[in-house]
Amino acid sequence: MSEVNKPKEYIKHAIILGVLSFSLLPFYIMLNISLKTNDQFVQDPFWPTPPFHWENWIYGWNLMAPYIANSIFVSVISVSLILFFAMMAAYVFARYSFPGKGFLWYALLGLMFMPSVMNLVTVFSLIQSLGLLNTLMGVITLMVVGGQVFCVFVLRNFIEEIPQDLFEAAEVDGATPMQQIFNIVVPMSGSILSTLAILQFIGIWNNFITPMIFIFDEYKQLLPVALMRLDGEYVKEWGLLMAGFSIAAIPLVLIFLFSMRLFVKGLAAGAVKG
Amino acid sequence: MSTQAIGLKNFATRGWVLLMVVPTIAMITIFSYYPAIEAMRHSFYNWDGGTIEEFTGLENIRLLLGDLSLWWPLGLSFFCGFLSLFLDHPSVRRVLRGVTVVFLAYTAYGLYKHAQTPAMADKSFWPSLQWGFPWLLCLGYVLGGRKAHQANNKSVKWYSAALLGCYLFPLIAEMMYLVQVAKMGDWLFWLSFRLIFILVVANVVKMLPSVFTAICVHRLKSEGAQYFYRVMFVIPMIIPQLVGLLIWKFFYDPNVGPLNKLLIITHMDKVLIWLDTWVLHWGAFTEPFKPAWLGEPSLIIPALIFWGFPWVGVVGVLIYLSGLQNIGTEVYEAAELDGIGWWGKFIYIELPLIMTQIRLNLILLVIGTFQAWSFQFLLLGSSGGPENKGLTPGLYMYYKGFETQNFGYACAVGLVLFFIIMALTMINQKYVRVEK
Repeated sequence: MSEVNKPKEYIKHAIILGVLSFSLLPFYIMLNISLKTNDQFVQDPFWPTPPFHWENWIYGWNLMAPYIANSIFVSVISVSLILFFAMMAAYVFARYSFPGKGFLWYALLGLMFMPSVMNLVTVFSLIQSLGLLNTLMGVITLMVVGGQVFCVFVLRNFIEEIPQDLFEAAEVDGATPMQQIFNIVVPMSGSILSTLAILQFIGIWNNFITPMIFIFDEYKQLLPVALMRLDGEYVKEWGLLMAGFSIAAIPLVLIFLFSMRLFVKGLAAGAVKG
Repeated sequence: MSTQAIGLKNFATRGWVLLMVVPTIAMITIFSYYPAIEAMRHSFYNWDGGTIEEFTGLENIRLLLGDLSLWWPLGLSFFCGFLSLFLDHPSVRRVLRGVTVVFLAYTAYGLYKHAQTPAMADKSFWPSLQWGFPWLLCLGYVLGGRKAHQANNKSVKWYSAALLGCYLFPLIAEMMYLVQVAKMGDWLFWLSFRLIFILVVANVVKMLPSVFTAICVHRLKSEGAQYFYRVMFVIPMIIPQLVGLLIWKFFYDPNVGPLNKLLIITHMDKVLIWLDTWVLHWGAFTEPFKPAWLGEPSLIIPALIFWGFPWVGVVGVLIYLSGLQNIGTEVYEAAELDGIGWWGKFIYIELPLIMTQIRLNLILLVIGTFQAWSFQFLLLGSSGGPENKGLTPGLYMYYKGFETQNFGYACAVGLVLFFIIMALTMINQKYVRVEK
């Protein structure tokens, strides 16, 4: 049987590899051009040309490092706050019933379908009147609000599937809800928590609308806006530009290196639930 | 899992637990619901975001949609129609349906009157067509009442398809009529919706490659290869979205972009120039071959559609794969014994299993497309590129608010958009059920 199917398998491999190569093409273009000067780029944009200009990368690093630091600061704080708040809310929604619970739950879920552009203008004036305009604090607040709903939704489903006995035993021993969260829920939900963390991190890392609108000062700016500005410059050094792009990808590369296995599985598990 | 009740009796001892929901609820109230309500309120204001703030009633919406006397019956009939879809109580439904018919009749009358005005008299084709639609719609409602009796019938699928047609066709035609005849309201706003409809259709088609790729990976015999490809599909995710976008923008660059070079190398430029000269008449492809894909009005929409070729969404593939994992090998073996080919397997085994994911993706995609603006903003600027070809409703809202300081008007755009997205969500809830 395997003999008969061999050509078929090759066809499948060929299709997948074709698709993959297209998906990876931007990656290749980026890395390839990041090592060229403009002259080399004009001569041959497609293939690597021997004298590699690693100094592009050094230049890109110097250019991008402050923005990367800002972005890491915002992303890490936002993700921790999102997970902390979402965990508490999800725990209460999963374990307790109280008057108005259904209403609150639908109020939360309704946000998933609310067009966020509609709020942009009024959120702007709200942030302005709170004095959070042009501060990283304001951006963090908005990121935390934005990421909340999805996490609560996924975590509630998850907590509801943890055996009830565990919580009851903890309660007999006098554990408070917070202790139950940290001693029962967190250890059991390692993979789902980290998947959520990564998804949120990527979301925040990629979000350029919020910093673009809410931050004016150059030194507070986040990475995506810096990249956008870099691309908008009139005279383009393509090599430097692409080196900047490559540098911008490094933090995500690091995260994926450490969590690849978990992520490939965790996304699958989370997706079925979500 | 059973839950513990917190009520009035044990509120003193247990009530503090509720404090744990407070941060989340407070945040969404302050930063999501309060702005939303404020936005709705300001749709009726002339507001520049700061000092000027005066109530102007329906002025913004009138500017946006044109003569409101034509719209409100339609809106109300929409509303009643939706309500009647959701209420199971037959008598309430009957009343609602009656109300709907009255409103529709009024719409028809209003449109008819409108068509009699001298300016419209030469377009006599439309009003005559217009008379037919409300009756078709009424037919739909009447048929809808008999749905329950036919629930067991085999033909119920065709019946509901016909019913849907009865609803949708008149509505779309009516929309087209309103846009076509009156040319009223904000032309840019309608233009942005035209783009949205094109993009929705394109995006739905662009979902398919992900499905096929996932199935290809799933059907591989060796587990190792499957895992390898999965990892490979994660890799494109590490490129920040914005970088991906900017690289595609570079790809389209007229002077140095790889796309034009690729087309010249493969001699596709000759074909395109021939097509343009004899078939399309866009004037976009000429000798020497340097089309500005994002700068030429007629090329913007094709460029947006072609964007991201071959349209394999990495996350999409992984999600479909997780759905496909539930299929056991014995199912395939049984299918093979029955002599079912690869297409049959796809239709009878794989598609039903990932249908939930496909539906969910479809809903999110349609809603996402209606909301989208950041993408177009990045590529084409806040006015949507030359001749506003790339303008989406969201982008228009941004443009009106942040570029021209007309925040009240921007809120009105948002309000209309909100109702359209709500309607879509409701239709989704009704016709496309998603099991959690």
